Amino acid sequence: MYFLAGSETGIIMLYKDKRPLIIFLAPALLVMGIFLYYPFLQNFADSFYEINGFGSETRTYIGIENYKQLLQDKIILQAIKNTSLMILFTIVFEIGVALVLALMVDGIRTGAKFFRTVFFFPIVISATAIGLMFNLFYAYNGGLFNQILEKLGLNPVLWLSDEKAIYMIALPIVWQYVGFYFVIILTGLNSVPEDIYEYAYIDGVQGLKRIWYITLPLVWDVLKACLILGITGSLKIFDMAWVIAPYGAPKGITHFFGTYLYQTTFFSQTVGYGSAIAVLVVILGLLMSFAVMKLIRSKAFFYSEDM
Amino acid sequence: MKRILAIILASAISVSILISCVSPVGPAESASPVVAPEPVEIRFIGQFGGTDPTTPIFDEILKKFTDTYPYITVVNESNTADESWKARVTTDFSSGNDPDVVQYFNGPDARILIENKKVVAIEEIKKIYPDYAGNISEEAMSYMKEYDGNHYGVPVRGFYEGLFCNKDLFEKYGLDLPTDWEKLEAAISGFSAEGVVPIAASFSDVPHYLIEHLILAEGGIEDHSVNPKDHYPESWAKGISYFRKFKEMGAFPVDVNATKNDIAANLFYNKQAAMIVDGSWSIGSIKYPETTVILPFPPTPEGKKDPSDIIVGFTVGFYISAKAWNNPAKRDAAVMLVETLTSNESIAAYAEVGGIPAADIGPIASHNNVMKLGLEMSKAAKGLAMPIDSRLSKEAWTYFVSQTGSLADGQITPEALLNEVVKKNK
Repeated sequence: MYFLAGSETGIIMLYKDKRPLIIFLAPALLVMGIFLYYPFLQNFADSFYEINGFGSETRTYIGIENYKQLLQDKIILQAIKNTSLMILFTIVFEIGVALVLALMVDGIRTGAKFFRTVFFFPIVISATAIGLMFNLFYAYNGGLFNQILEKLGLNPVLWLSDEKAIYMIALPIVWQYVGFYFVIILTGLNSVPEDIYEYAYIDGVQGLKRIWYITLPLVWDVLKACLILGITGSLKIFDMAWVIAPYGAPKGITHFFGTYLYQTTFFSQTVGYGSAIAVLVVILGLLMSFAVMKLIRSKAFFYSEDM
Repeated sequence: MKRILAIILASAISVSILISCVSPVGPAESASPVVAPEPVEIRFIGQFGGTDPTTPIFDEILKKFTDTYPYITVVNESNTADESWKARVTTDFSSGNDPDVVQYFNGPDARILIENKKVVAIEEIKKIYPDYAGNISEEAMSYMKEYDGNHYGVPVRGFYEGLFCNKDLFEKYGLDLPTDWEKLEAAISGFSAEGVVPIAASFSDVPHYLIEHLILAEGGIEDHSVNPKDHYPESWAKGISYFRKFKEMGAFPVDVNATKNDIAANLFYNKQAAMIVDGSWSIGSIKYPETTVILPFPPTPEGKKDPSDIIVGFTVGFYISAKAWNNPAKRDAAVMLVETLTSNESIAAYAEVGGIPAADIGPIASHNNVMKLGLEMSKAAKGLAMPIDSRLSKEAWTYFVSQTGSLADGQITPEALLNEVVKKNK
């Protein structure tokens, strides 16, 4: 193993006195408490009330009625379907494509910086701007895609039809986030010591074999982190989906949890019900994260200088 | 007693003389003492911001105000009003971050602010500032009367809604303007056959005005004005059933279920669509006002609507928050700001963009063709109705709006939709 330089005794001494740790941890805990845990607990409490109107000071206790409504809500079912589809897209197209791109960029000597910048670029553009841009791409009358089709002598396509809309919303989301996972995986790849590849080369392990038996096991933990980020991120899809298809357009069939929560809370102003949806999203997020951690057991290999 | 009073007075005079002798008196200070007002900051949230066509006019008025009163700083946090903007205002109020002056909606939107005593009634303000909102017409003020009988917001501009038509397209394709239902259906069929979008609309974004007008066209003012708490008028179901009929006739853009309102409206502004149901606020965006006309939406064949009936209203006003009113340092400045923003001069400036002025300001020379036609239409109307969403609960209205696409595609019946609306209209 590579060890940090410094004496072990010093580290032990540092951890013996817990006060500095508590002092340094306290501000972060305070900030998280105020801006994360307190609002969540308040939201959980609100989910048992009927609150009509954002900012309303009048509320009626209704027990678990909001949760009963959740079970009968067809749009929630639609949101679960759409989110599941998005999780699939995240794993296959976001993380999968990012992994392929990262492996390719990691394998080249010249131009790596250029590709890194180009692939990462979409993530720095605001999701709203991308959403607006794709709105103009998808417009039936005069939209970019249909103009291209018309130039090619083809008939215009209704890109946001009932059947295609969910895929058309997924497309820019996938496009934007490939760069994000690409950078994370590339950083993981860069941390693999070159001498391991050299040993492998001597042993005749090259090409796909090298990727399968050496690279992937060594970045397995990074991929696992990407999966957890991707899955929990899919549960939080909101901004771009709302900009491209407000109210789950067309006809509410492209709703995700985030868009439906927003519509319920800010437009319908049924704040209590919106809080119940938020609780559901948090529970699903936690369950899925635990499931990923359980299902994909750590297969990471550790490398040591003493090898 | 007199002696004590005399001693006090004498002492006071002696002390004053003594102080005036001791204090160095410069030439500038020999003039009558003028106390410079303390700097005041007023936080304002309004709707004349962002992409609103009134924004430059409003900014100019605000600049003049701060130039006149340099000690008042106005922190202008205005933006285009939509549901997120409304939520931001109510959140500010509920979290104690109350703005000093707000330009906000009346009716159900304002109720939450009034119930929580967040804004001050005009009746209360008039006790100390008798001229406050004195220039506003009685008719405009009547729309601002709230559930408790008081008035809170000072209106500056009302709106009217109608059927905007690209007259030149009707002429080009030899079609009559839709002055009655038969002509409307003929225009829809005619334009559809020619590959021109008959009615620019977006069911996913803002189908509101079509919903209102189809109900008005069938039910007339009386049925349209119902707040369906227990049951809905039959005419509502008949009215909204035309969504399906129109869609089958090819009345709307192909992507009507998913397009955005601004993209749909651009079809009309760019002459790719022949008609649009919209309000006076959109006139500023019309590129060719000389070839655009506005008409009242025609009554259906069995409709109870008078052909001249239209939807109008004053739904926005300037409010002073209780927080500013109860702060002696801010009260005067807040009142002065609202008085400036709602003066006849300001109302005349806002009216240049369209709409119905809230005060008697005479004819507006700069009005274009559509604005003139719009004002004439509102004056000629025999019946005036407020929009449906000014009565329905937010939950019911959001559901109504979100189901428009399904209604037009026949995936939900008008009756099933309206039953759910009644259920949600608590």
